[in-house]
Amino acid sequence: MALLSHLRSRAKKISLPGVALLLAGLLTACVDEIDLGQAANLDEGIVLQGSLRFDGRTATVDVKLERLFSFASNRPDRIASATVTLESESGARLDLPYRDGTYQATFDVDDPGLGLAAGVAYRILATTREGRNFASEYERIPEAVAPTGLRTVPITIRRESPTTGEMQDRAALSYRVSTPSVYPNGAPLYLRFRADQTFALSQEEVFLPLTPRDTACYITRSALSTEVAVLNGATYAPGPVTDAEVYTDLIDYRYALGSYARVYQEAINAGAYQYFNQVATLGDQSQSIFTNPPGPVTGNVYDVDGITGNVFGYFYAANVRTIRVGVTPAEADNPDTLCPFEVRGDQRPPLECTACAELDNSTIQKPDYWEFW
Amino acid sequence: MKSFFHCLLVVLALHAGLNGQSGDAPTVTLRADRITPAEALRQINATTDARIFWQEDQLPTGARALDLTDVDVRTALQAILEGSLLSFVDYRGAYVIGPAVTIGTEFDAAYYAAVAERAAAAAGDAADAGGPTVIGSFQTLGADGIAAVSGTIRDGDEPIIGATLQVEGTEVATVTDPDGGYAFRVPPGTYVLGISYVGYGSQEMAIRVDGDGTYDVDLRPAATNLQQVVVTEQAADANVGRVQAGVQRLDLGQLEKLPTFMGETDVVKALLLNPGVSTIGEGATGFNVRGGEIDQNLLLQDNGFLLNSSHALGFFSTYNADLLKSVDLYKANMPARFGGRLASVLDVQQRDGNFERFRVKAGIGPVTGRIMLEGPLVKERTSILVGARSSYTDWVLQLANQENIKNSAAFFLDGNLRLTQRIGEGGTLIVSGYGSTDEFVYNNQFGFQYGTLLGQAEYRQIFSDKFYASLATAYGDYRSEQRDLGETTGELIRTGVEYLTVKPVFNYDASETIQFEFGAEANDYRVNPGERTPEGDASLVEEARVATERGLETSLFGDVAWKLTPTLSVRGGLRYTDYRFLGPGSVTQYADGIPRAGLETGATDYGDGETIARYGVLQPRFSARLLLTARASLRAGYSRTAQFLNQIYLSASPTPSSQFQLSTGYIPPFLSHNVSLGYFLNLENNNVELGIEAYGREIDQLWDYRDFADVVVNPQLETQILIGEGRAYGLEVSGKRKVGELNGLVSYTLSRTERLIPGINNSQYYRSNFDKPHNFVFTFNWNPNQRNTLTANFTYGTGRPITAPVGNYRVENGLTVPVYSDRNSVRIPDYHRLDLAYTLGKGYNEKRTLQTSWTVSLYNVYGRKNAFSVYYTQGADQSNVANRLAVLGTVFPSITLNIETR
Repeated sequence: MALLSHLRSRAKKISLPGVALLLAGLLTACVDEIDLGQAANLDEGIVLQGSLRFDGRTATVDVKLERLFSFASNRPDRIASATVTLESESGARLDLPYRDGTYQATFDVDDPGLGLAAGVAYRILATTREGRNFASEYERIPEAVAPTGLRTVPITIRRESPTTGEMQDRAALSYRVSTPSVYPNGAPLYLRFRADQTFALSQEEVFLPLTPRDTACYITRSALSTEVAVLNGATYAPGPVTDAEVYTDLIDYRYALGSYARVYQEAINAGAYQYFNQVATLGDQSQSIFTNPPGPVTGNVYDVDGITGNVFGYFYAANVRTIRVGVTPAEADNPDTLCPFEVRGDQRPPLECTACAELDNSTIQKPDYWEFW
Repeated sequence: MKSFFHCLLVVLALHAGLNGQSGDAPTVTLRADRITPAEALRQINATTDARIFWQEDQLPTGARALDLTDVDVRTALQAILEGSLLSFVDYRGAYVIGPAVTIGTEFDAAYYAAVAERAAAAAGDAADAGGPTVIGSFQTLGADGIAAVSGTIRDGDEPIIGATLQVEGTEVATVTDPDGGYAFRVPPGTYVLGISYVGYGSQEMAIRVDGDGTYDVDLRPAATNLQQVVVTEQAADANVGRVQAGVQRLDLGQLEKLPTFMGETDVVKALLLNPGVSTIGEGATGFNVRGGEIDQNLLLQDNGFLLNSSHALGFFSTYNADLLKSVDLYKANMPARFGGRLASVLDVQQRDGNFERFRVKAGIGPVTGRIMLEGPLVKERTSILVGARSSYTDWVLQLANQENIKNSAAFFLDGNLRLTQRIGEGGTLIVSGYGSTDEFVYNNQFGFQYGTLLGQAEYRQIFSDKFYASLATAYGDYRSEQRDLGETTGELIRTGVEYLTVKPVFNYDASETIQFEFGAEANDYRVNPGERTPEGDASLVEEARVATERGLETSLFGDVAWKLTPTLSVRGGLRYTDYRFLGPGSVTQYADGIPRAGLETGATDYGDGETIARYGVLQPRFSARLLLTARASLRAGYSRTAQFLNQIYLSASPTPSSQFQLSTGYIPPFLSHNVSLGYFLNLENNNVELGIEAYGREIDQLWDYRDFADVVVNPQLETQILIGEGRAYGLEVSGKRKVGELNGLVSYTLSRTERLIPGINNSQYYRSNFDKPHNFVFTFNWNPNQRNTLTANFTYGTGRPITAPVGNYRVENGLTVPVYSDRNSVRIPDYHRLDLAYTLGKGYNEKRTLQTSWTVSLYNVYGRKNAFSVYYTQGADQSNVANRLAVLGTVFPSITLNIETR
């Protein structure tokens, strides 16, 4: 497979501890933080990041507008006062109100003005309060391609213990998708994957071992966290893609009462694929010293008036299809804790749990697809 | 008239008061009532700049009156010699007095001058009972006053071929011929004769040359004459006298005294003491010459070349110093016989085994050991030289307190074998082999394995003392593997280069002033650009392979060294290379002919041996040296260089598993113009060498990687590169004191290396990966006596450039994306390091069969945390931090024991 796992694995192949501790004289290497003073090289900049996701019926538009922030900072400077508009290639426009940190709107195929359909192109226009005008290139909604399969494969992952620093073998599941690699006309597919997981927790105070009960919470979380998974169908063309790994997930309490994973397969354009592929590459460099030389990520957003040089981001259109797979407790080797506390390293699992309904994205309404009890 | 004279030589400056006008012929004013001829002559010599030579006992002893006023010297001499049987001759401004019947018929003035000088010196030498060896006599002195000295240099019965003889304080130097013979001509006098030969060190002989004569030297290996050893592996005045521009010869004799990492003597590390040569630091593979990439150095081992100069990812050199005859580094300016690389040639020549007796030498360090054995298989006809080195790191790894280290392995092994067979008169056949393997595994997560096989054969034939030739062939095979041991990511990536070289070289010494060298070279490359195979049952890696590529690089070259005048010598040459990228292969076609992913229009297939692409490059080479004085010279050089085999590496530091790429129709060769101009000065009788040299390089064709290039097992590598140009320029300043209780060297390089690639960095010039504007090296040796040496070595270099994140933004799932600076616009912290070493040398007892020496080193004395690399991590709050990886974070002590037999 490959592409997905390679994107992640290549950067980790030669990891920091190896070089530092083995090659360096074995006992004398060291790593410490330094200040290269590169923040002084940061010019003013702006980032427009957005998507139009079409599921065949409805399109969800979501745009973030932020100022570029310093290398050492963790505080994005969101721009909430801009005017952001979605414009179709026919000139129809839809204002995107600012809500929950993003400019967003939803419309469907019945909306007569925007002509929502595969093959239609859209772009984003944004004007800040200072009168700066930004725009994205037009992005055309690709044809939809549905995944043909999703399954899990139990694997073992070696991870460094955060408490002891020693490497440990951890049980995990590899989520693998199968899909066509090309469109019916033979053109290669470019795909981005997102995923979420819905798992069950007991709502009561519990003591190990537990048995499944009706008073459960169903909690949905993103499964990919900050990872970016993309696939270039040309790598597999013309045959189908079989068992391409989308992500791996350590087995823990989330699998004790059963779990469902849903993978969103987004058909995207070549430009968007290149963008997210570069983003994925950058995101994977955190622990590596032998990695590809970085560079500016190629976006499709620009300053209409040519004033601001540092304009980053990408607005992309995706045609999304989903697929779901369930994992029974037995398939996960019956993990023995149900608590909503992540167990780290050698910590003992807690014996008491808080009320699971208070957790984010939690509901006591059993999902329709839930078949474990 | 060949008898001993006893004369006085008096040389004075012009007596202006007597001359009246500066620059005119001297005049003499001499008035005396009673004065002997000898006294009169002495007064003239003392009060004018006239040079008068005479034989005291031939002069009349009687005194008489003289009244000379403002007369010329000739008139004065006629007056003084009037009535005697003596006369004189005016020879090039010197007046030689002798019997009237022989003057001007048998000997010239130079003869008299030489004899006079010799006689004066002899008077002083007489009291020196342990004085120099006397060669010849005045009876054997030639009529021109120049003595011809000849003889042989032998080790026992074994002639030493190629030993260098240098008459200190003069420009006289020569090299022994195949019989160990030599000859040179010098005026009579007392000299120090330096004789140097690898393995024998350099030995100085005090000689007094009175006339023509022979002087045979029984040279013993350096170990037996440690007291006399002054380590100079080249002519004493090479700094000033050599014609070739940009060449540095490594002082092999100093190697063992240099501070070492883990106790291993290292040729490449010693090269870094030279101006213009730098490296990233500990753990970096290879070295950089004048801002060039590491793959732009041709790493020769005799006639074959190595593709990796490092063991243990750069901690040790692949060259075994015990086996070497010479190490020359040509910085961009190289003779026409070399080619195929852009920046430099490291010409490492191995020595022959001893034809007379067996010797063993071994060294034991903390984690490495080495052994060398040499001796005759058939005395005086066949010799063998064997060397091996290995690491033994397990015990160190087990000292670690972390399991991941204990589960790791680091190992290297290399071995050399060289057989030398003398055939008939002037024929020599040399067969040699080299093999090495390196292996690294880290905590069963990832690993490297790489190795070299190099087999060579060379036949040398001396047809006459003017014409000799060699025919060499070499086969090399470099293979590397990078292994990922993860369960689903398990993979093995193999790359490698296989080559066959054939190289005939002919030398013709037309005269003492002009020599020719010409020949040909063919390199047939077969490159494995990469193949990926899954490792382990659970691996999701898909097999991939880029077809083997083949290239044929054929060159013709010719070189002439010409001494135009006593002060001006030139060396010029031409090298023409015909390079062909050969089938079989399939070449992707692109729209508009521009390689770009997604613009493929088809492919063209080529058959086996069919030419896919062809380049012809004419490479002129030129060097000139102008002696300003006997101790100062100007040297200039120009060369055109081309490179057809490149290493592919995208990482911050090249790794042994880097791929190799031949020039193709889409990937052109690197081409460069190189110029240099330097001024060189020797002081203290060649003991102090000073130099300042400016250089410039215009790389009119090179390529660099696109942002986010993907080069691993990529059959369309051409889509990942962009083509442009580059430039490099700098100033190298160096000073060196070779011997003495206090000696050492200092070098400083001011340089800049930049690239201009359309499509990278907004098509503006940017720093190349190894641009280090300031590089400073200082090595200080204190030798309180011959056996003890304390060495301090300090190195400073500007931090190399990197492309660093300067800002951030986030994509919609919260992933923070760094915004990077312009390419290579940020620098890592500067590199500096101090090392100390103490060497207890071999003893003076020449009767001991076994000799030992010790070297104790402190590497990185003040524990500088020099950055090998900088990488970035996100904290728990998602803020970014830059991290410095220092390969050596503290001082590293080591002790090495060297053992050798005579």
